[in-house]
Amino acid sequence: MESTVSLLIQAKERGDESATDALFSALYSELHRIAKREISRRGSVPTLGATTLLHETYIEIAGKDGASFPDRAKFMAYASRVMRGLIIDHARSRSALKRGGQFHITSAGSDLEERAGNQELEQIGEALDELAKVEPSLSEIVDLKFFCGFTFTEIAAMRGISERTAQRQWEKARIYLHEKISADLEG
Amino acid sequence: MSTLRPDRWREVSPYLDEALSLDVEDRVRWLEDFRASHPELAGVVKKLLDEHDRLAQEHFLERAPAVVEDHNSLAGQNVGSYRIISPIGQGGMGSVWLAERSDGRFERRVAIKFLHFSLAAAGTAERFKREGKILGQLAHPHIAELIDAGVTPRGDPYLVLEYVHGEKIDVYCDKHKLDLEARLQLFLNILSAVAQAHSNLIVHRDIKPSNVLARNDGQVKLLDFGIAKLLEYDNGTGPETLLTVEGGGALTPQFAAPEQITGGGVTTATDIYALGVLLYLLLVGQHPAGPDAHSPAGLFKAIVDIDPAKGSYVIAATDSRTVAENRASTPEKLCRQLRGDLDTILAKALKKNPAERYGSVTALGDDLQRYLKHEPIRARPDSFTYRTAKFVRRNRGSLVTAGVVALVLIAAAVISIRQSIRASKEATAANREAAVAEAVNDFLQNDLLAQASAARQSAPGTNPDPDLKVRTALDRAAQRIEGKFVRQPAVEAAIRTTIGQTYQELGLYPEARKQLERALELQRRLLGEENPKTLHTKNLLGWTAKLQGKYPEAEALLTQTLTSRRRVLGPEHRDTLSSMNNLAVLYIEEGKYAQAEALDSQTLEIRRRVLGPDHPETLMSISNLAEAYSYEGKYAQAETLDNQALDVKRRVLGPEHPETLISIGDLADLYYQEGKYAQAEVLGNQVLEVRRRVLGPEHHQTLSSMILMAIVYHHEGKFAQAETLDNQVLEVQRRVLGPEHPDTLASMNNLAVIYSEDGKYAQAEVLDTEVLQARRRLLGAEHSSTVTSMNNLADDYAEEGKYAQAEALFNQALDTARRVEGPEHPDTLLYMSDFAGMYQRKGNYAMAQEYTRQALAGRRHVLGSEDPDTMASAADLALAYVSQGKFALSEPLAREAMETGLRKEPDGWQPFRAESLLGASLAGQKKYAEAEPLLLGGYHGMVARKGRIGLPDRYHLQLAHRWIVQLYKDWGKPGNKPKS
Repeated sequence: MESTVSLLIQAKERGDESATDALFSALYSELHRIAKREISRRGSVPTLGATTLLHETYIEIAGKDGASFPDRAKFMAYASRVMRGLIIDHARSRSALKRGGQFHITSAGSDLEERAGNQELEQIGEALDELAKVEPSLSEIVDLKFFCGFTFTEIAAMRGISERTAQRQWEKARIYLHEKISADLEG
Repeated sequence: MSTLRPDRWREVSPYLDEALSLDVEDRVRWLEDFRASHPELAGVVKKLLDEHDRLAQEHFLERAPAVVEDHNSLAGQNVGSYRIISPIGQGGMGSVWLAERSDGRFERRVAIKFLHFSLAAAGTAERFKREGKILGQLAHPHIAELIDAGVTPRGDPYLVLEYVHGEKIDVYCDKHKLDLEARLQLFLNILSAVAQAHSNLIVHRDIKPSNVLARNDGQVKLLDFGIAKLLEYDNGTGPETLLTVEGGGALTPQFAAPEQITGGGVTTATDIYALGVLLYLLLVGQHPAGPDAHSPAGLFKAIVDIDPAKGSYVIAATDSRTVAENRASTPEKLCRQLRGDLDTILAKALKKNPAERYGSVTALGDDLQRYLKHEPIRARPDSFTYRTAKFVRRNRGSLVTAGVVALVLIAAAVISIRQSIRASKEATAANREAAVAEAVNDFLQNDLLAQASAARQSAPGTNPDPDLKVRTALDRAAQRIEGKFVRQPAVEAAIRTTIGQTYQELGLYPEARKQLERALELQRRLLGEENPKTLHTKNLLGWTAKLQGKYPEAEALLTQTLTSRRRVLGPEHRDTLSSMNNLAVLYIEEGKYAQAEALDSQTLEIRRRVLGPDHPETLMSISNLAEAYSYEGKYAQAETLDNQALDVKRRVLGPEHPETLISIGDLADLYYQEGKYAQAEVLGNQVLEVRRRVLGPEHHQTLSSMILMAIVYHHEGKFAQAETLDNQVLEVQRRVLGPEHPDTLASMNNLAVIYSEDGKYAQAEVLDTEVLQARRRLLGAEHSSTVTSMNNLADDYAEEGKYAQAEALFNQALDTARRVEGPEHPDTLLYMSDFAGMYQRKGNYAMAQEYTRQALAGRRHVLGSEDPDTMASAADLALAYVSQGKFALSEPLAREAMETGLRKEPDGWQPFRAESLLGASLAGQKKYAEAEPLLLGGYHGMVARKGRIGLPDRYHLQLAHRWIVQLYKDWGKPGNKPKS
């Protein structure tokens, strides 16, 4: 019995654009659910790395589907994109007390004040959406590295490129993002 | 003008790629060229590149990765006089956070580490803070300073530490491709730090790469110094085996010292061991226990029991190009650098016995300095500092001290259970379940480990019998599991597997099966038939069945496991090969030698191809195949292989290395099989002498040698020497292993055989009775060893004339053997022969004839007509016929036995017995002239070898004598009456 996620990924790969929203919703709720589970299980351990969360999710979903699940690299690409969404959402609402749930998803603290940090995150998110239209591989790298914390080694392995290439893509993406953010601030 | 319009970006993007892939200097040049070739774009590209440089410097976006936090997130909270900024990572004992002073004073940033263990009792909190102050006084440039230790109002202990931003030292060294000398210099810095701590009586207890960081500037810092001590309870107990987490994964004791695992005391020597492991890793590129000691039980065994391989050997025997590259060297050069002094230094740091290691960190450092200065080092190499890492021996009666084994297994059990609790995929919704799991875990760790430790630490001279206490504890644990994990089948399965394995190692097979069968059921349902965990349990179950002697079942399980592994992992995977090995061992025990040969052949071919001809595992396969050959009687081939293996080992390891000795022993064993007892004796004594001298008279390998020698002596008829040796071995085993250990029982068995050969039937009966009772109880009435005991005891009864008892027991043995092992199993046939022998002695020739006939037919079929046992049966049958006057029937049998015997057993007395029988057959047919030389020759031949004939068989001599007298009487010719 294939999972929703699996079917949606396959659909998207075949070019079915309507599957995109559904896929991201499905992933979003999967990540959410598993994060909650992991937090409650770990008890006194208050933190859980995003990569761990992604791995757990992958294992859980792929485990159910077995051989028919599309490969890990694809999954990670989508999941990390969703992860970005989760992080930004939480960053946005952090100050809002009425946000329920047992956990927050954050990126590690920046040197800026919290508010500025959150704003920066949102801007990065928007910039990435634009970058995805121009050079999608770059935005994926940022999702994987910045939001999810995969290492260059892991990213290289997932995408079948060399570490050096992964690093270079990262550096390029960074330039783009910074340009975009500064431009917005100016403009 | 925004550079970010899509078309603009697309234009410059490939040029950015080019530029970014260059070094800084080349980039400048490239830019100049670009300016010339693409003037309109150059400005933009340069701007972006400048930006890149700035961002790199600012570490834009270079933060720790995302984390999911508890809503009790600590960021922004105050702890002591600090305010938490952000999480840094997950340490072994708790989470680590970046923090700064909350009063705004700009001092350096610190790391605050929360520890998992909550200190509820007031007393311990005070102690914690007090000890923390003491540790805080430890100041050294290479030790991350412990600034403060405190306890939050909620009772969570925390440490305030100097924040070190660096990489694990092994990663750092590899990244910068530091050569040996540079690595040693770094290591010496670490040593000076540890030395300082030791002089303040502070032991680290947890030295490992993740606690030794190297900063970008090359500075090394030791973290977490002495933290273990802080966590002790007031009475000094505590988590002494601090088997900490490596990077947030499962618990692995990779850097634990043997004494930490076996529950001995932790001292500065423990740190020295850990430093040894670290140095080994830095120099050789792998863990001393070998590259694949990955399961907890395997790792424990490796750490406690197996000496590490010489670094130079590892480099030489494996593919070490990457390792050498990371050390700015080549494999050949690296091997040369390691060989000799560095090998010796590492060996001394890694001694199992703490007293044999370097006495102090300073001493270790001094020797390293001497090495660097090309001065002679102080440490003396012993002739065998190592055994190569992974040698899975077949059952050769290896004897590991029971106490150590028990502790090792318990500890492994605890770790394994902890792992499975962590890995449980089921939601632990109710706190109750979590508490129960914790309770079981606690119980196992505190109760089991504590009990076992207490048993080991009892005063010398008392008999602590650790096995008994361990067994009780295991039984209790097994009970406690019932019904507790209904909603966590994965956890239950893992626990049961581990407990089952522990039972198995202790020889308690029925209990082991119960646990393993339940575990298998759960895993089948939960994970599937071919999941590695399921296969692992299946394998264990099959092995247990084998140990119980339930061969058909064992074969089914092990074959299934092998098939699955072949399919899922591939035919060349280590686990597949190990399955092949297991199955081959089983085949040998079943007597299916041809099949064993086939499997061993396959395994050898694969290993030779994949690992190389000199690899330890290949050599192991060679020995296994040779053993299979020898069982089949293909002695020439076996000899060739054994010699091959021996040559390699002599060349690579030296003539006195334990592994070389094992090979010499294999060859001796082979000669013994061939009946070349004199040669076997020579080689066997060679080995025994070295082992006695070097390992001591109580080492399990020395005892193995003694056992082999006793058997050889026995076959040569040197009963007194055999008896002495067997008694010595038995005394040690009784004392060290306990009176019910399988090996002790085997020795008792051997000794009883000697006694009966010597005519000491009453003593033999006592021993055999003891053995039989023990085996009945431990192995069950159907196990092949139990049946052997029955047979032996029956034999004793027969010799003593207690025929009724003998008959009853023989019948029982034969029945069981027929049923369990099959009517043509060599053992069954042996029992049949012995039974027949009893009837023969008693005078019941018809019965003797019947049984012997069956035995002979069976042996011919299974062993072939050339086998000494077959010929013995032929002679026995001839005797039964002669006793009934059926001389025509006895003649061909006796002839065959004689001719084959003279060919195959030139040293033996049996051919002469057959000769005499032939004479008797002819004499019975009144062919007196032909009979005379045979009868005389046979008799004298036996007399000449009288020493080799055991007392129970002496009556053959008497018979032969009687027949000669009869001959001359019947012939009517006054003749050469022999003196008797």
